[in-house]
Amino acid sequence: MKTIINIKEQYGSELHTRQMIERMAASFNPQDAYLLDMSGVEQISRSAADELYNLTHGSMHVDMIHVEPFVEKMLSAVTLGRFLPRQHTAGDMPIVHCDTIGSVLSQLAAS
Amino acid sequence: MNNGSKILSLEDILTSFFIALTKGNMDVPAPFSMALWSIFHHTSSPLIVSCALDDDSAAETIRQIKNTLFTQKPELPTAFNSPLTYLCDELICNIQQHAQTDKSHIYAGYNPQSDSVEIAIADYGVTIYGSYVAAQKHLDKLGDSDADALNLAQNGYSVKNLPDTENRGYGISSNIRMVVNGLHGEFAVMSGNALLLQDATKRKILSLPRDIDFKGTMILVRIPAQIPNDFNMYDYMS
Repeated sequence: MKTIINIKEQYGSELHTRQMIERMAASFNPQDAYLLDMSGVEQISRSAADELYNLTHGSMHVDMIHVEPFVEKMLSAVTLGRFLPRQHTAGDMPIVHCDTIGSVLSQLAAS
Repeated sequence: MNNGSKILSLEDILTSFFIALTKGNMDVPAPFSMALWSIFHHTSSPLIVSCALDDDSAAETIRQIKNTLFTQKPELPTAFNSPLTYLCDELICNIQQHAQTDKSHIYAGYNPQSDSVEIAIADYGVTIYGSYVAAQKHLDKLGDSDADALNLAQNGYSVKNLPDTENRGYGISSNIRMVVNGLHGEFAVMSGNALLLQDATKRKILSLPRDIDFKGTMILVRIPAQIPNDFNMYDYMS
């Protein structure tokens, strides 16, 4: 028998931080199974989604139902982030050494 | 520049700020400039909010930022909500996880002259350089300056142990891409004595004169209120 947790009722419609998910996980009994009802949860940060990934793919029996479209997309993004190699595509930025305020102002004015 | 009627770019804001530093007072009436001045000098101002950014405070702070902006500009497109939340989430999580401080200041405002949203999120912590050193990460690439550390951060190098198996270290790099490439905005970071500036025409890091040293990290963002039709937030999440 799975325990159903209504996330919106307990934590609100926006999940912002890893700590929020960690706090929820800490309240779970590792021997039990849980079903997270995500209906009405409309916003989630990458960090919170990433921590949800840990929770639902870890040693505890935790699944999600009724995942809203935005949350679904964020979960997909963090799942992809787990399997794609980290890219450092931005490349180095030029570093300009400014010894005076005047040189700072010149750099700000230059295109 | 300082008559209050000109549309100020983020470069203009920073220029007026550095000029004011040499004069010792800020006489540019633009709220974003005044907020930057107050944050840099760690002084209270009705324009900025001091927050602790613990778990509950972070969620409340993000709600406050959104409420402020949507109250000042009710016509902001609802499509603004998701990238705004993503931006604030990532930057505030960065402070929580890396800055080693509970002191932060936040400014959010709508600028009707430029029809843009302006946000500053600042902490008074260990700086980006300090967070790499504290974590003993990427020391081989780090060099010895705040500018080198900013360069690593903008390129997505995480201070966490599991950047390749967890979604860590995206905060600054993904937000720069989203703000500049996706939303056609401007992005600046001041950390220690370095300043990163990126917009449609500039992409550089300034190593500032030694006497200019911000004891923490400050992110400045300016985003046009009109979201481009082809903007897709998910393009910037990986």
